[in-house]
Amino acid sequence: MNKVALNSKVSLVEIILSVLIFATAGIIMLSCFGIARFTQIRANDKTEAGMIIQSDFEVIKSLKSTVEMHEFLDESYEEKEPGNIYTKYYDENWKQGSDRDYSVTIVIDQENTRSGDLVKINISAEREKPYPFINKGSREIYSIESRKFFPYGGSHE
Amino acid sequence: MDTKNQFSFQFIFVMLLYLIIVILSVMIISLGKNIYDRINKDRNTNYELRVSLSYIANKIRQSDRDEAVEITELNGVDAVLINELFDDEKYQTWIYFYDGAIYEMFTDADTAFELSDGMKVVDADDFNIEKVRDDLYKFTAVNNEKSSDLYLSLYSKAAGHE
Repeated sequence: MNKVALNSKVSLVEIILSVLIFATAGIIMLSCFGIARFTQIRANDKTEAGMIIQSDFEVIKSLKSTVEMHEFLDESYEEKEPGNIYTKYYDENWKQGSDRDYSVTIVIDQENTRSGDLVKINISAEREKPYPFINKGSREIYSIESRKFFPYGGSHE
Repeated sequence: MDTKNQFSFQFIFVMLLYLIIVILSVMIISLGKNIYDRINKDRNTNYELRVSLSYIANKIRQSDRDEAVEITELNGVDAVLINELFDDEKYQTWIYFYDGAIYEMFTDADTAFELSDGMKVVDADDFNIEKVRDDLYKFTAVNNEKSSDLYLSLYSKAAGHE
């Protein structure tokens, strides 16, 4: 009977060890699942942010004066800060509304010349909270910088 | 009697550990499957939305000159029409929504064709074109109940380019 008890103890230690190994492997696997999931979410965010930013750029490029541009920004963007900074917010499904999971910010730097206004435009999209499992540091998802010249005659660049 | 009890307790404990391993294994496999399914579904939706809108944007930007691009109707559906000239022959590329997909049809100018004759580009649940201004159009693609918009400015139609 003593022999049986000894064998049982040895097998118990083995089982506990295997449970520990299994738990370690499980934690690593869960971490990998988390990384995969949030990498995919970041890829989707990049697509959505890219579409929004490109669309806003297309609209601005089609406008004929800085007055029209500021009208468009006042209508489309929720917040306006001094210094020509406009921000609008999106929820987790990229629907513009009350939730603030993502933000799109446009910074306008206007330079007046004799023949027209040269506007430097920077649009960037950010996630309010950093992505879990992905240690990338920056919360920026997508960013474009460009320039648009609005001649005083009203015609296009 | 004590040794017997100890043996049966250890046996039950070992079996319990095995049971925990089995349950956790099933949970991890199930979790992995769910995550993989969601990633796959998101990837497909993302791909189809991005491809459909990027494809149209690139086609239009490629040909946006001398009134070559028109937004028109084809058998009751919104369509992008791109007029091209090769060896003095006029050709047309039509991009339109038909039967759950975006189709493209390249044909001689003014040749009649059925919507089903075109080549399927990418699946989509819905696709709309909305005219915002003469030189600005809004393209909306819907896939897996998720919609995405893209505004495109036609530089050839803008004032000063005509």
